[in-house]
Amino acid sequence: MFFRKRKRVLLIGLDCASPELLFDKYIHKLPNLRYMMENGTVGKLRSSTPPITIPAWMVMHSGKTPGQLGLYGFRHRDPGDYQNYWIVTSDKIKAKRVWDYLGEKGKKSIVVGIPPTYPVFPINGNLVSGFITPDANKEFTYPSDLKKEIQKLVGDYPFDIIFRTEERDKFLDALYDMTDKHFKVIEYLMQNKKWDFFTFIEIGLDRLHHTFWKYFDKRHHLYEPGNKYENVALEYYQHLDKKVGRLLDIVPQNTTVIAVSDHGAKRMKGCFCINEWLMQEGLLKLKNYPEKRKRFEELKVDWENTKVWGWGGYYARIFINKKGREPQGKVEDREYEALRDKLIQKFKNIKGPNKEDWNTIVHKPEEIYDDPQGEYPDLMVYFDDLSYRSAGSIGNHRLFLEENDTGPDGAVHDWNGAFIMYDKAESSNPACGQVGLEVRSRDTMSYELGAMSQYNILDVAPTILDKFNLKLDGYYKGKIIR
Amino acid sequence: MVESHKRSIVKSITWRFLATLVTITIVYIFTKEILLSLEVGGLALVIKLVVYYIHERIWGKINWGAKKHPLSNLPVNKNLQPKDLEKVQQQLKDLGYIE
Repeated sequence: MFFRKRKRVLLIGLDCASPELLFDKYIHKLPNLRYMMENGTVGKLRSSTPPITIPAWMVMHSGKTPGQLGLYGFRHRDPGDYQNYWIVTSDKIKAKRVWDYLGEKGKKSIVVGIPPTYPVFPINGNLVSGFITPDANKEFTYPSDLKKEIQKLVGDYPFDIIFRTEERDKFLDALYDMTDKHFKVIEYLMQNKKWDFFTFIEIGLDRLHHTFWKYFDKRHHLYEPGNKYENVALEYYQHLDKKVGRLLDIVPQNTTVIAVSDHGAKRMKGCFCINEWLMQEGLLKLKNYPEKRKRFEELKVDWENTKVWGWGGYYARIFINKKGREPQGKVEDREYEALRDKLIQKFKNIKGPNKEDWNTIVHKPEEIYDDPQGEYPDLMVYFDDLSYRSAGSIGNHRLFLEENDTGPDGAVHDWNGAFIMYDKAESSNPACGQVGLEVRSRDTMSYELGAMSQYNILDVAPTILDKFNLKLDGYYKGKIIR
Repeated sequence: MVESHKRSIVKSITWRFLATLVTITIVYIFTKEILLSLEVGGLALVIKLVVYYIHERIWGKINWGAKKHPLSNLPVNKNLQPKDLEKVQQQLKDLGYIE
């Protein structure tokens, strides 16, 4: 054959898809994803450090570490400022992403919902911004006329849904509505615009996990047997599987389809109040202890007598009030390393609410990143290996919380996401589609998590570019997955 | 393709080597004088080497007829407006990403 169909890559981003649910618990009920697994490459995907949506999707699309990107979460301190912080938006990303490399070679990309892509920016192709978009009245597409096409197709285009809510039935309606609209737009773009590389994320799984994990995980401390939401996770995974099947039908032959998640999920055991603990240790002083719970930024801190403070989130960012760096620095240069080492020991010795041992992980940023950039903390702490969130608020009158201090939440992130790569070859029949494959019995499945291949989120960008015979420029650590 | 100085210089040298041989041959055919042919060839070699290098660098600055970079005509990023940033912050608070 003289003319081969042109090479394409489709990346299906399933934010927060858990390998435990996808590969083990539900796989026998997800025929399309299973088809990809059985006919392609599959493995666990080690997330970025930290395993958070921002920086993870940018790490995946740039091949650079969070340290190289200078991204350690959704927000970062304004340098030398105790109160103010900046939010990661697209204009803060300096590294080239896969679509930039491809654009330079004349290849067209379609990018939908990858965070952060607001404010929108030009690419060689089409772009729809992700969930960090103020509202649909803003310019959320490139080129700007694409917005009209999308609104004509689906009406109001939802970027996200509020998920830390007690109104769960309303949440489910909004979740399915958002997902259906997203996939309608994706199918439209796939069939009506030129592309060599198509990448999108569906944020719905992440929102579902946070809202419903305690309803379907029998090990969760707030699980109630027989509750009416026992099957919501499986049903939504099946809904997504059908959408994936539809895309497998639509994509042209000679397309590599990669289904991937940026991080995994697991049950949240609770929160550890980092700043309450630092107060107990005499390292943080307030002018007044609040009667009710308050955000750390709302408190009057006695900075002259404070050595350490912390930020909440999936992990704790620990800041040392270092002289010469902070406005009212207290810790001398010569004390700095000794204090960090002492804190590491203390963090590792913290026990759980029932005096159980924890597997707390503590990193010095410069030890895990080569030449970290931007506003990185002095220490990064993962309480009980991420099972306990860090709560930055004060006024809780205790060290441990059963619930998230920022709203109802049942899940935390986990280190491993999922990776499936399937080539829709020129000679093969179209994939199984929505009809689904014959489901084999459960005990014939061979996807044992422990024995699965382990890939890294840094491997994804070089793997995509390799499909187009391109390489990342500069220093990067990822390997090509074949 | 953007030419490096080194590439332009190497190309100038290889081309001049060939062109000088042609010049010497032509002058010899017309004059049958080998010394004169070598003198003309030698002088032309030096002068045309410099002129060719300058000519290459000038063409390097002219876009006419060159294949354009696919992103070269696109506008630069728009900055985030303060009001939009406030909305984004509030959204992230509502979502529980920031405190």
